[in-house]
Amino acid sequence: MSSALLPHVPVGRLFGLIEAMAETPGPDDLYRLGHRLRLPLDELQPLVQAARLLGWARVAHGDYDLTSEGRRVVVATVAERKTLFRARVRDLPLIASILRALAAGAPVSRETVLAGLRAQVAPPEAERQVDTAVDWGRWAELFDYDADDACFLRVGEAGP
Amino acid sequence: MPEPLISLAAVGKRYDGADVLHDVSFDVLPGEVLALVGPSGCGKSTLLRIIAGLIPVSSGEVRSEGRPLTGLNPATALVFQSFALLPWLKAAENVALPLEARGVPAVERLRKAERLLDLMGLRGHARAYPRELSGGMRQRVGIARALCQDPRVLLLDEPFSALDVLTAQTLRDQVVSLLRDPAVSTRTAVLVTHSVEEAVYMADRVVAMRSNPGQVAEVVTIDTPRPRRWGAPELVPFVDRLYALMT
Repeated sequence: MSSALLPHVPVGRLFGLIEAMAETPGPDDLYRLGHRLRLPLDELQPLVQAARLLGWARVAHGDYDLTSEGRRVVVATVAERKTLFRARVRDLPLIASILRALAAGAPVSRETVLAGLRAQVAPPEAERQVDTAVDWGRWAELFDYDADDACFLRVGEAGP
Repeated sequence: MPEPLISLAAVGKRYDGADVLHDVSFDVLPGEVLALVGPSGCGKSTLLRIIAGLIPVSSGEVRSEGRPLTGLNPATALVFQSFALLPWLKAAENVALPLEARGVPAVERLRKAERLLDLMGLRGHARAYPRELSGGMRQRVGIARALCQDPRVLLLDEPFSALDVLTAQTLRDQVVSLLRDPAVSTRTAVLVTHSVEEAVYMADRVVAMRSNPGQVAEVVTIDTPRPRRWGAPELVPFVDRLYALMT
């Protein structure tokens, strides 16, 4: 199930990567991208994985290339990026499962989501998965999260 | 020639008998991005705080919107390198904080804060605590907090230095486009940076500074059209010239 896991990438960095990928036309070597951005492989890898997961980049044999949607992202406004991002992340397994649970109407506790993840990954990774889901889900405005009560909420249900 | 928003005339600053700034004069014109660039110790961050009215001058004069500056400058708002968010407040509350000091009612404060977070792409993070945000998101909150005060001049103190290269690049573009966005009232910014490339990429004019004591070497106009591309060949001569002036 490892392919279903979220790479731990802040949304802003992901868009930075897509913009950097757009600076060379056509496929290019990943190692060259890493050199250009001065990013070691362990930092580049989750970024590239996120770009693939969202369908914005293709990677094969150490080369990368933007997809047509990836190229749309490059020139999109923040609002357009949000729409494209939301359409992609709502179907990612962890985020989709949180949305399904929220559809019942009540807040969903962090613990509930963690419990589901612990069957697949070690506890620290489960925590990181939930943190990344919170970040991506918030940016996509798919759900809200209350850190005081440690629970997921439907958008617009949180107090000030 | 438009009336300058801020005008520095022969500004000097001494700390413990040592000259930190010597005979600094320049204007901030409406609608421009003015970059202050120079080596560390050239007093560029001190200058920004003088413009904000946080530090008094030892000699010379600062005028803001035509009047001599005597205390905190209400025409300005600062964005800090370190973000300077209050960790116990949520993002929207951090953005709204300066409005509280101005007596804006709570409902209106939060509405405005959420509108600015939305402009920064962070509407979904309004109720997130700073610790839940990436560095880039924290600085977006910092920028929203400054813009929330509708400053005539946005003061940016090394705002991208604490960010990684990918995050910094998107945020530079976002700041430049916000200053042209009809949803934002602020049109003018002063950017302090140690990066010549960043100054040339973002600014309309660059004040090149030297140290010991801090002084203006020259003011260089970057008349290259926008949008600009980082490292574009037409920007290289400006970068070369600024390095030559400062070294």
